[in-house]
Amino acid sequence: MNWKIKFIILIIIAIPAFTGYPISSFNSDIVLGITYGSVCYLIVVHAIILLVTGRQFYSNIIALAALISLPVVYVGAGVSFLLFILIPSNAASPSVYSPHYVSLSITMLTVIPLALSLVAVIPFQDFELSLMTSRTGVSKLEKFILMFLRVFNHIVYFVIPNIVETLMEEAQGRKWADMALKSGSRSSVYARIIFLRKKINRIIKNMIQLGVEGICASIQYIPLWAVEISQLPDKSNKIAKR
Amino acid sequence: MKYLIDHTPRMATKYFSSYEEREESFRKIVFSLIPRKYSGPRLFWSDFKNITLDELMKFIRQPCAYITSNPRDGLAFGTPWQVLKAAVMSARKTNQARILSVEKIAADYVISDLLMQPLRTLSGGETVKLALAKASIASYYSNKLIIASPFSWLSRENKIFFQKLYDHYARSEIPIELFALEGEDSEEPVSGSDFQRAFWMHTTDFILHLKGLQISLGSSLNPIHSRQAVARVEDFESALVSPCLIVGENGQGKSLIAKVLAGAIAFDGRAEIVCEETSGPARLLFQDVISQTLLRSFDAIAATSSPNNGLKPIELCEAILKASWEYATHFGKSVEEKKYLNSNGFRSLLEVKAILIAVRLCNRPNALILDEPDWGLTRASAIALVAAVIKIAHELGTPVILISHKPWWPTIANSIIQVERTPKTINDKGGSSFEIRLSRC
Repeated sequence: MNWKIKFIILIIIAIPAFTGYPISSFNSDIVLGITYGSVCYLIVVHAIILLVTGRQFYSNIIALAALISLPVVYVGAGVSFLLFILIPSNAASPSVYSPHYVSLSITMLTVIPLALSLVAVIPFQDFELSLMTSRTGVSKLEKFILMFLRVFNHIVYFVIPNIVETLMEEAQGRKWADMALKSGSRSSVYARIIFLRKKINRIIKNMIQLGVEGICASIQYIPLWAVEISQLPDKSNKIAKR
Repeated sequence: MKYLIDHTPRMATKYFSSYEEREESFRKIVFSLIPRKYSGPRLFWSDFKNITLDELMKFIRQPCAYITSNPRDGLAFGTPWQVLKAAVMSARKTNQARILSVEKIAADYVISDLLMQPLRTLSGGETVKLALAKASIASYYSNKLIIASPFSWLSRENKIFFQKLYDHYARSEIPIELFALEGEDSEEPVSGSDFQRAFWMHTTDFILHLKGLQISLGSSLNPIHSRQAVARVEDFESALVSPCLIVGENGQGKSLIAKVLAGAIAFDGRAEIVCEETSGPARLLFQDVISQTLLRSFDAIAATSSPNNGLKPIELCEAILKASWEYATHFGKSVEEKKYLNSNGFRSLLEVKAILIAVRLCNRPNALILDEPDWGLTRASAIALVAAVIKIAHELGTPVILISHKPWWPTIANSIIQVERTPKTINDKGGSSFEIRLSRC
């Protein structure tokens, strides 16, 4: 299937997410916060994404969507509950905010995979290639686009895979060490709490470190690309000379 | 300064005793456009600020052809075709470069079948050939050629390409400056007297088992755009003795096998190392250790380990560095001083490698895989580090697998595996596949 057809299909199924139609027509609740319309839309979106992007990519975006959605929903609900405990007179009760967070999780699990798929089906690498097929030169606008595409493609095809490789290699050892540590501390509740605390600390530190690495790796080559792209002959100058 | 054709690359080379010294010196000449990542985020940001404010303009005024110590760093586009095309377009601004074409240059450097492959999926050696091809085109618009670590990446069979570029610049009378680490260009195998087998009397046996292996290369976005590249590995099973050496020319798939064994990339099929003395998964030290640090400090790397057997990464790292130092002294050769600190107080690459290895050894893995362990080290440091790591790993019962294209290591290996791959076949949808074969030597 051509990428343009894939893109159009995904745009069409994204329309209900923007307009609310026809989801809002089926607004009777299955449970509080989840309507028939939203569940049907979730199923349709996921089926089409699976069809358009393939099994391999689908499993990746599901993992990513869950990784983004679940902390937002759980932390949000946790904070609301904390407010309710601390200031019960002013904060909403769980019966009020629960449907909101249930609905939010369904929306996020629908919209995030859809957005990721929309970006993924666009062949940015091919665009970058096509900008350089000219024999004469590259216009100023094309140089700007080339720079933008370079940064985008570098992050998608270089920075993220590199970080993932490093993390996967480290995860092997950590998983094994954690298993051994867990089995060793089965008898003590205190040891389990310590283990959990260490794990949470490690996740937070890793997230910060990954953020720093991600930003630095993404911008590292920008000066080099700026020089290389600026050295390309200017198409407009060539035409002007002729 | 004029260069004559009978000058050898050695005559244009400056040798350095550490990675940090060489990088500092290289940066001064090239007005380096890439912020240093090996010294942590603070120096990275300071470099980035300086480059964008000042160095960028200096570089534009004095264009020079360059290849960085990690040649991938100097290639500004996503595919070899784009890299060469950009260089050709820039060169065509000069009148004498009218006849240049991407295809001809690619054929000259034997990278024609890699032109549309994403840069990230090229092996180290293939990347160097591409960098050499680009530098060859750049001779039309550059006033100097500068290369860091020109001898480190290429296997013996591919050294002719470097010589070809060198001769091209020498003929054109364009100045050449090469920055190498001491002993980097040595072709001599490590001698028996250097490596006393007695240092690791208790060797470790293990079984390497590969069955039905299939690996998707590149990004997970590739299958959506029908550009999937697939590597299949022929089934292989063999009982091996540590230290084991995996050899092969550039681009045969050695690093790919290492990443599969360490679980760093996803794959279908079975790939495992079975060792009676240990039980953890195989661990890998990447060739590009700077990327592997993820900009973490020495202490942060040490904290990534969760040892449950009393082994502490810092202590193990000290033991590796101490043993390296002892071996170096025994061999009568100089090695980087332990606790070498550069002007900004950051640890040396030798220490970074030692702590990354220590963290991995703490969990007593089924195997410790070292991918091109000599990268970024002088020959003396590399030999001393490898000797120390083998000794300590064997004491812990962990087998060591070395991966290298250099002729240094076969004399010290107790078992050797040759890796070869078939030529790539392209399918109708633009995807490609090839097969990797392992055999005992």
